[in-house]
Amino acid sequence: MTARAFFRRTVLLVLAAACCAALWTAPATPAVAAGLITDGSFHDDHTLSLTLADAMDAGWDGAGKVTVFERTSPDIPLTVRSVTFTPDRRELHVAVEELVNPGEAYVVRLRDCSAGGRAVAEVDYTVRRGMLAILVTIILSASLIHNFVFTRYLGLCIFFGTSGRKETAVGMGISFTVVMTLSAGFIWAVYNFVLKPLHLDFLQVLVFVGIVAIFVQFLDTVLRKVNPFLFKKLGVYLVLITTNCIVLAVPLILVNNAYDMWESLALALGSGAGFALALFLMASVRERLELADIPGPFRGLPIAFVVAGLFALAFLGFSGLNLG
Amino acid sequence: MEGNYTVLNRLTNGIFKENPIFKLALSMCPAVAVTNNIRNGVLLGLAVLFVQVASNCTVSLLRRVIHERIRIPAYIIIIATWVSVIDMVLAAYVPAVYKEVALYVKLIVVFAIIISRLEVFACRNKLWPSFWDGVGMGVGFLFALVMVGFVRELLGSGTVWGYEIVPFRPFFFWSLPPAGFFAIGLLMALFIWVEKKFEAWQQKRKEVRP
Amino acid sequence: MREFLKIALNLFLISLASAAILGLVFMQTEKARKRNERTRMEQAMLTYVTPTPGAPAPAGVAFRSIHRYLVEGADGPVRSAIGYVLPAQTGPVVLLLTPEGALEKVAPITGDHDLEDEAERDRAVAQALGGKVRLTYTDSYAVAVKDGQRLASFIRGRTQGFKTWVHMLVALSPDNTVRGLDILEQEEDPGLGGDIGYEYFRNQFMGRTLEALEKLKVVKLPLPRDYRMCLERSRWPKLDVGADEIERMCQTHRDDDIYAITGATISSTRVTAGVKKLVHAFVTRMRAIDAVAAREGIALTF
Repeated sequence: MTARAFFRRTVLLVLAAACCAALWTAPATPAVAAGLITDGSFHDDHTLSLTLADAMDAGWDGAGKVTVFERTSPDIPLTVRSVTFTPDRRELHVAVEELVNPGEAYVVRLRDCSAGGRAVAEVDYTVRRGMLAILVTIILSASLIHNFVFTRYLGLCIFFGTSGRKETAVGMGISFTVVMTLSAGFIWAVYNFVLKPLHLDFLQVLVFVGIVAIFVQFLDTVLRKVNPFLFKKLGVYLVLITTNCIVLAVPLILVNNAYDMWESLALALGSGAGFALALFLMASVRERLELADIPGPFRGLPIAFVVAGLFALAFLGFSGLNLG
Repeated sequence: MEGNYTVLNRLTNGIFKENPIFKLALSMCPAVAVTNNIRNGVLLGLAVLFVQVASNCTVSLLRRVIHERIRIPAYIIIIATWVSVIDMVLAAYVPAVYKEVALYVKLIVVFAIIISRLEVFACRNKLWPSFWDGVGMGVGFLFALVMVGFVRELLGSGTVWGYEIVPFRPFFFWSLPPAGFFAIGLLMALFIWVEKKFEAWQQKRKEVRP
Repeated sequence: MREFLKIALNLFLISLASAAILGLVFMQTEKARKRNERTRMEQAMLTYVTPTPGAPAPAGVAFRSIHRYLVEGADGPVRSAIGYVLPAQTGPVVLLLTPEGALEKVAPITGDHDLEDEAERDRAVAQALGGKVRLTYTDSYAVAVKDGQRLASFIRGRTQGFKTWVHMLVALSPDNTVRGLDILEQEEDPGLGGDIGYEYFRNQFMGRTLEALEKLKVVKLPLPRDYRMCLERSRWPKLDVGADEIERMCQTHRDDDIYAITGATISSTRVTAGVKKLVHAFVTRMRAIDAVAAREGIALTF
């Protein structure tokens, strides 16, 4: 079997598994509020926007008839500053005095309105960030804003060990991302279905490390038998993965933040992508450094550290990047 | 290959000749991340010292029991056990300092230095040399963390162990996390430079007085 | 095959031994961890029990906790209610209020529960309310009392910082003037937003009344030297300035806006907004609880 066929088969298998999991975990679609409001989103720091099924009747301007509150604080309504419509009256923007945080869910309540000839006494809509947006945020955050190497300072041993050549960097990046994503999904399941219900949280570290080690061993054995070509390319990196801090940090972070399965996978994918990016950037610089005239004591690792420091400073610029 | 190791030999080996951070360049994550003051460095260094010594001793005692083919998983389990122990103890008794280094204490499990010492030294030596090897490596690690922490805290916040040395922040840059990389890079270069000078000096002494 | 069995047994025994050790250590340390966590929190709160922060607290101060839950119908909320876990003289109760502050239900919590433990409290509240409801724990307040007198109240809450959540403790006097602000947990950039935990920033909130707090703004101006001296209370003993001189400095700047941290305007703005929001919500809620308790004749222990 060629490497390509193996890849294709693996991808298909993973996709099928993902679909099954999606069907299984997909939450029941929430009842859309009386059908009047079809969509809601965060417009800017102070504004929520709602999309309506029908144009709102001209008489209704929203004055005193719109309430907004955080889902967890229904007793503390926010101060509504203004309610404005788009010209076709199919979309309204509700501006509030307070700062709106896209990480929270907000309930917008409209009273005594009529749209398309239908009168509605009261309608609620919960505005929260969509699933896809959350996943994209997690991936971007894990790979750029909280890049595991340059802003969380993890996985440095492997980072300095394998960033000497671009070729090794790419190999390591790919193997790491694959192992991380697979084991994160597995760890999520074990934690939520075994450790948490049985109150065995104190075994976290032991179990997580064990799972990663088993996964690495498993991939090593399977790859050796099924695809010797791929094994020859990536096999050496597999062993190294067990001593990479990131493989343990990702499970700990996803447990701390109580991520669901998709969020966990996104975190793992993002961390892998971030690690691969860091490796590649560093390898490109180090290949050139070999030709540079560096003072004696700095040759080798010391200068690599200084370079990593410069990268880290640059990555500091990503911090606080607004993903709302 | 149970060689002759003296206590002094093991200690200097860990602190200077094979210093985990400056010479072996293993387990540098915490050295960069939590060393913007000495206190964090000391706490984490002590945790590593404990884990290294405890796992060294355990492996050395069990070296005839553990099956050759599963030694790596067995080592990982042993390390993970000791790490969880120290993690729970720290969380219970020094909660304030623990909060800042919590993630890194758990990550000691995957620190390459510990498993490499088990594989290289403890599984082939008796309890006593293994104990001192663990102490040497742990102290070497602690020493490196304190060095980096000292430089960064003094330059960044103008304090040492929280005590004010100068009433302002001399180089604010040094408290920023990325400065950890620079601090280690520079100290590493210094370490190498001093060692080279020392060797040259010894060489010269030998030549003068053969 | 025998070889394989031997290996498996070997590994199994090692895992078993380590799990046993961990279990033992866990049982030993868990209680101590919880106790220390609570003592630490109480120490932080004790600082603000008297009107002058840091003055020794009177003996016999007790802390009463209030925990808030969002209570929704099991199949999604149509109208959600708010459940407060309160210490009443007859034992703990759950007070279920509508968002407008009207009483829906008073449910006593029976049985011996440690209400400071989150998991145990969740179970106790679900049991007390009965029926099919969805509970979401939201936040906790604490009131310091001595001989039936309220000495101070405390809000534990979080707000979105520049990078992640900032967890804080706001201390209020009985007339809802801010006594102090403590930053409990934060992951802002050290040296920049991380300075929200420093005295020169958080002590700027001291002494703000409820009205002043509502009008409070954040300004991008350098922090005046004398105001800084006044704010850094832990350095007062080191200064060669008299107490009345410090008092005068503090008075001059008493009504200043919040001076943003250099290079961390967003962190400063968000923390300020967070304090405002938390205090506003707390005052509204305490008024609702007090009104209902007085009307229904529920004797609370704070």
